[in-house]
Amino acid sequence: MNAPVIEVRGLVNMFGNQVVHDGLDFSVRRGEIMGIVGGSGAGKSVLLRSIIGLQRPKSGAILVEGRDITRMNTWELLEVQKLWGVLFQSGALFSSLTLRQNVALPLQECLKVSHRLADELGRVKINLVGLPPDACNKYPGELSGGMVKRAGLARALALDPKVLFLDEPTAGLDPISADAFDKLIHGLSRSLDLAIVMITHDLNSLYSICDRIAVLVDKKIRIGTLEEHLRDSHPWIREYFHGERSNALLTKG
Amino acid sequence: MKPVLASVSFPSEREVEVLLHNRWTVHEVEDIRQLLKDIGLKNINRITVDGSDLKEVDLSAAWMMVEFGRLLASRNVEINRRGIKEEHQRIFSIIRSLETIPSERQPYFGSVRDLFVHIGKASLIAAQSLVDLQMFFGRFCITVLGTIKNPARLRFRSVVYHINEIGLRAIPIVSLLAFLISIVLGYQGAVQLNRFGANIFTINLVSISLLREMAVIITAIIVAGRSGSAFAAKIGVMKINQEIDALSTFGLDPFDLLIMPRILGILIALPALTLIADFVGLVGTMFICSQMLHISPAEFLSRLHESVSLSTFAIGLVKAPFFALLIGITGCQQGLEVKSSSEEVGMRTTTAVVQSIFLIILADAAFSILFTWMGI
Repeated sequence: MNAPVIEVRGLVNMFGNQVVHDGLDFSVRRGEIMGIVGGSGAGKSVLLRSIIGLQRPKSGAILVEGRDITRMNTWELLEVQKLWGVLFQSGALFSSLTLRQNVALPLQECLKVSHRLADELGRVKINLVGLPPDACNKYPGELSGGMVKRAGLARALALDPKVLFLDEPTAGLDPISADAFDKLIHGLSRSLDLAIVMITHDLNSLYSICDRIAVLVDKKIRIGTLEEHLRDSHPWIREYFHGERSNALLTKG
Repeated sequence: MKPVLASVSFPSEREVEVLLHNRWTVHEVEDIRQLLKDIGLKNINRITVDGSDLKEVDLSAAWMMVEFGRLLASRNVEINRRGIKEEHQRIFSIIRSLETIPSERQPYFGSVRDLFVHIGKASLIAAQSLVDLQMFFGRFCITVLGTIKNPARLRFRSVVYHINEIGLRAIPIVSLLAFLISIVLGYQGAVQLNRFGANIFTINLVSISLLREMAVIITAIIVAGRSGSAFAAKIGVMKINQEIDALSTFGLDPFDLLIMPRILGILIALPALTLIADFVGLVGTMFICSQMLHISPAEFLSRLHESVSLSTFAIGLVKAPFFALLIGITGCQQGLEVKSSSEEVGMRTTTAVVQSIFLIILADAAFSILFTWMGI
């Protein structure tokens, strides 16, 4: 449970002369859900993109199962990227493929699984995320926002990853769907021992399912449980966790 | 060397014991399928599964095992499980909790009936697109009339922007092609006419075909490829981003803001480009004549003056606005037809270019007949 799956050491990201991250250190362990919060422009997406290897950091190391992905060449990186699943903010489903083909594609392409078996396994994943069977043959353009998120999760789970990255998974969902989605993520993390890193602005998900919360502030990262952040005296963190929205949730819960 | 997935033993003839080893994950699904198939082919009535040596199992592998278990259960095989670890048990129970969906098979080949259904649907779509084009044209005409009545509706800056995009930026490629085409025509013409000792008629041949047909057609085809496609793609993406809807919510007509400036821009730019193509084409002819036929530029110009009347030049130029209208209307209309997916943008852009080039050539044929009939 405690072995770190991903370890970030001294990560520095810069755009031109502007420093976005100035030496971040943290790790994500198996079976935990880590929420990443931060103001607009604090570099949440940049952090996510560097961890999943879509962007090379200026300096620092990102260790995945003990291997530094910042020193890998493109081919090695592609191999490591199969270890995790990513749910992009807007789903990023392939619009020319049906849902089932979307989920089956990584199986067929990465693992050389036969067409039929990939299809079947794709249906299992679609079923797992709670989409009705008749959704399998629909195209992403025909789905509602909530269904797109679920479908994106099904695709992220296609290769049975150990780590799942979610970019604002509940943004744009109604409270009922958002709750259901949170439960789904939580259930998956617990039963599959998945490490989940999620960027979120949904205070509800932060409070109910995240084991630890990483706050990006002043180009640094502060990691702690909710209770630790509530005691923090940094003005931004105080405002975030003691703002009106937050207090309303905390007093209710 | 692949790690061993399981050791299978047979304590008695109709009994099998499977000791699971190593990792059962999505990476091994094809091997797992083979293994389970081999076991399933045996005529057994009892199976014992031992999971004590299993290192890892994921959802995909668990699903295959559960499905296999269901298959065996339906054959009344007794299934015993032992030593399955707690954390693996959880994964199996997730899979068991999913409702099973009967797998559906999609036929690779349709029936003859499907063929007719397909043809019928395609015809309806074709008919509908014709209606859509007319509707679009109608609405465009209304916008034009409205703009004439109230010229303030015209977005002047936008028109200028589009003239720059469609016209000025296309000048290099249009000039280059006009020059090359005239050289090719001149070369071929000179070679053929030389046999009759009629070298000098190369000037007539090239300049007339250039001014009447080639310059305008080449220009129109380039503009269809450059700008007609850009219209469709830009408007299509705006449609997907709901930008068109956003305009409507302000009470702004997308026809005023997006379509009129583009079509007006192309109406001005295409004839202008044709003029440039005419000029550069004649320069090209002059060049090939002086190089191959040793006709001096002065001689060339006087001969040109004799052989080409103003009407030849006018006939080429008069077609340009019609071609411009065809390109502009198909491009914009195809763009507006995009509904939701990015794939549609690609498809509609292709359709816009193919359709406008087709229509240009069709219109050119119609003009030829018309001018012959008029005796020009």
